[in-house]
Amino acid sequence: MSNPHEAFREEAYELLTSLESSLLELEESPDDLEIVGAVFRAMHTIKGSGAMFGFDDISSFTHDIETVYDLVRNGELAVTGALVSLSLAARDQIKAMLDATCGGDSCDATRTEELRGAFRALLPVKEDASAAAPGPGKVANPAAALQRTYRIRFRPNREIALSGTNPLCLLNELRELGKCQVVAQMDDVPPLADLDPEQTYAYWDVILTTGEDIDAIKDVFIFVEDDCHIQIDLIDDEELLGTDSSYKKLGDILIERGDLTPDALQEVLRQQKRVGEMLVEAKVVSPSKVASALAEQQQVKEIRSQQQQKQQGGDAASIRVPADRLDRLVDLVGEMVTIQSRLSQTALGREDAELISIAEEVERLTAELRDNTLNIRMLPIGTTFSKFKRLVRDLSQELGKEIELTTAGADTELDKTVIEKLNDPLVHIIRNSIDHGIEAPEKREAAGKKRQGTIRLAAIHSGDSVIIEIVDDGAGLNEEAIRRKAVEKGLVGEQELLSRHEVFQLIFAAGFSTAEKVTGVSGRGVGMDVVKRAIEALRGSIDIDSVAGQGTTIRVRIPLTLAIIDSLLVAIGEDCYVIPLSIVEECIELTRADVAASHGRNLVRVRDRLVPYVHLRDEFAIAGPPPEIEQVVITAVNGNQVGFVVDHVIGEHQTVIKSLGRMYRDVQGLSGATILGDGKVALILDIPQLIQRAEQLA
Amino acid sequence: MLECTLLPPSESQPATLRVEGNADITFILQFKTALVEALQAHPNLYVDCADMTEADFSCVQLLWSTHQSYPGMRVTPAGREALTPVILAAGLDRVQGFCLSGDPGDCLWAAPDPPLGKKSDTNCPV
Repeated sequence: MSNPHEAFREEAYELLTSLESSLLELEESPDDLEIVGAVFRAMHTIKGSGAMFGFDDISSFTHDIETVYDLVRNGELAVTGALVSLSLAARDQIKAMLDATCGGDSCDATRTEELRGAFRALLPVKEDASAAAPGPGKVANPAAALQRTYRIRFRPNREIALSGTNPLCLLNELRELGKCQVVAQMDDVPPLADLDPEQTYAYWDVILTTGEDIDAIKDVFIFVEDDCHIQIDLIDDEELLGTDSSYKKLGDILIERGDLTPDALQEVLRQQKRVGEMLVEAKVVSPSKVASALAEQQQVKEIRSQQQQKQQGGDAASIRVPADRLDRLVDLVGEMVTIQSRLSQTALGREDAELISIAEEVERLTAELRDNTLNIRMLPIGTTFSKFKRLVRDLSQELGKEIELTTAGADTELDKTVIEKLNDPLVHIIRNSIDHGIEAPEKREAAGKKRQGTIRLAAIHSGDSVIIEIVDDGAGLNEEAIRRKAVEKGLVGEQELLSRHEVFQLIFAAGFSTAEKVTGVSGRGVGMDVVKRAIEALRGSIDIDSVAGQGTTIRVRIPLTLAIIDSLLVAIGEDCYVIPLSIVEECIELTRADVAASHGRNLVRVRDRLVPYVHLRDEFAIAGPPPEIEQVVITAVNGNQVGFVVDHVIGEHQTVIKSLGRMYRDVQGLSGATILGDGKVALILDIPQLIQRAEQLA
Repeated sequence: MLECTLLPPSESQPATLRVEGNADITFILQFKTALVEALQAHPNLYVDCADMTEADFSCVQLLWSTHQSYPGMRVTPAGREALTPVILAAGLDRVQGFCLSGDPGDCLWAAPDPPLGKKSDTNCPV
């Protein structure tokens, strides 16, 4: 059985993330009741689940906030900036409480009480907190909600109680969703001699009429769904069964549930008694199952006679799958791609038309499987963007600046792993923009700008990559200050001629910082070189442009996925190497005559331009003479073209990326390895690092 | 803490197991052991839950299973405060053994007051 406490924590962290986004949206649209509802639901779920899993302090604290938001959604309390700020602080406190439960720093109880007091102070004096809290059967806007009736069979894992989960709390959660009848089924409880009292043998039938959709019901079981059998059937709404107040007969309900066979029913019906009695007497159905079916019949009849059902219930379009299962699936698809490559190679080698045809079919299916599998791991980058709203809000307040964060392309999808690793570099870039980029309001006004600065965060697809732009309308980079600092640090010579673009690139040099003082916001000893390295570790690139007085644009290019990439396979001597296709521009030949004509300067003419190149045979100290005609693979990184000389270009290749072992992790110029169709290992070249190394040697 | 004390039968009442403290998952094994030992000597045992401070579903399940195996076992009328909310939350108020039984020997309760706020027109013999 998976650890339900861990499941709760995981889910609670997710809820806190969405809660933060909702609160920030609420600050912008304080009258939007949908957002208020989202905040309330998040608090309500954390409260209910917290209580269920024994996180009583979290549950109790969240209850106070939920109470306030219940007033807000009922129109009894207005959303103000102060309430949002308080709620954000409470959200942080809940997170701290959660952190403390899994080995984090202990939570400041005084702060909890302060916040609790602040929320209670928002309640009207006459209001009794317990009365304001949503109680069983209390449903939001019952008159307005579309009522549907569900039949739920909840069969918990027998060890549910031992894991600290109280199944009755789940039933009470269901009761909070609407009109609810719960019937326990005790058939499976063994006699005393065989009973292990720590096990839960019972299961439950629940008839629930609610205005909430099926997702709200599923949410109740969210922490136990992997270990318990949960069946939810929509049994009544207007479109399914009409508005007639009659309902199915008892026998039909029992047959539909699978509790009774049609033959057994027919047999009993011949006796002409009340069917429930007859069925129990005939011992074909237990009394509790009859009670449960009667509850369903009674409730649906009641609801039908009370009001018309107006809307068809929609089923959930998604399921929750643990991330490690997806990772495993991607690994398996990677293995499949490798084997498929081997199959294709073998088929071609044997010149067997039938085998080649099968190999082609497998190749087509594998490509489809690969694309679909990688798509499953794709997440919208908006989840990361929403975190930055909070960052910008808090930091701008701290620094006394007025900054608005606008986002675009939040729906742009990236591999889950990439998104996770992108967070820290983006945080650092945005911190820099807030601290060093955007000016103080007075300074902006003096410069003829709006008091409020803007940071724009945009993501857009570009081929097999995503480009993320961070644009601020601040003071821009000080070209002269950067140059001066670079000279001081010995990064460039005093008389060295540099283009504007080259000067800006200096900020990515190790240890470079132009900030006059270290602030709490940026200047924490982590420079933009770390950001650059983090982006390059994702096989991405970073570029910067700036106009003094107008602002700075940082452009990050990131590959869509880190698992399988399209690449160019090249050979040097007996070995094969892989170059990511996304940075390859073209391939040209390099003859001995070309080499002689460049007089040892490692430059090759590509149409009207001279492009520097790196001789990989020399770089990797590969023995043996090169072929008469070599190939130069021209790459483009951060806008600069650099060639890489190889013996042969073999062709395009689907590369399943395998990480290098610990022993080889620090080898310069290599970022991973892959297995080729013939079983050989090919190393993946880290082109940005190779370029950097060549620049240092030059 | 859970404390179970077996009181011998007297003229006024059968043998009674007095249960004090928390009858929840933490002490449920101890509760079962006490019940089994008491029932071996007194199959028509009364279980007095008046001083039971907490109960959970494991406790109710244990009582139900016990009653199925020893139909003479009853829960005394007084002090069902700890059990009643659990029975209601578990949806056992409609279940045979708790109140809907047509057979007097099939009911868990020992007293004539309708349990759990039910109307006395149920089939419950108590």
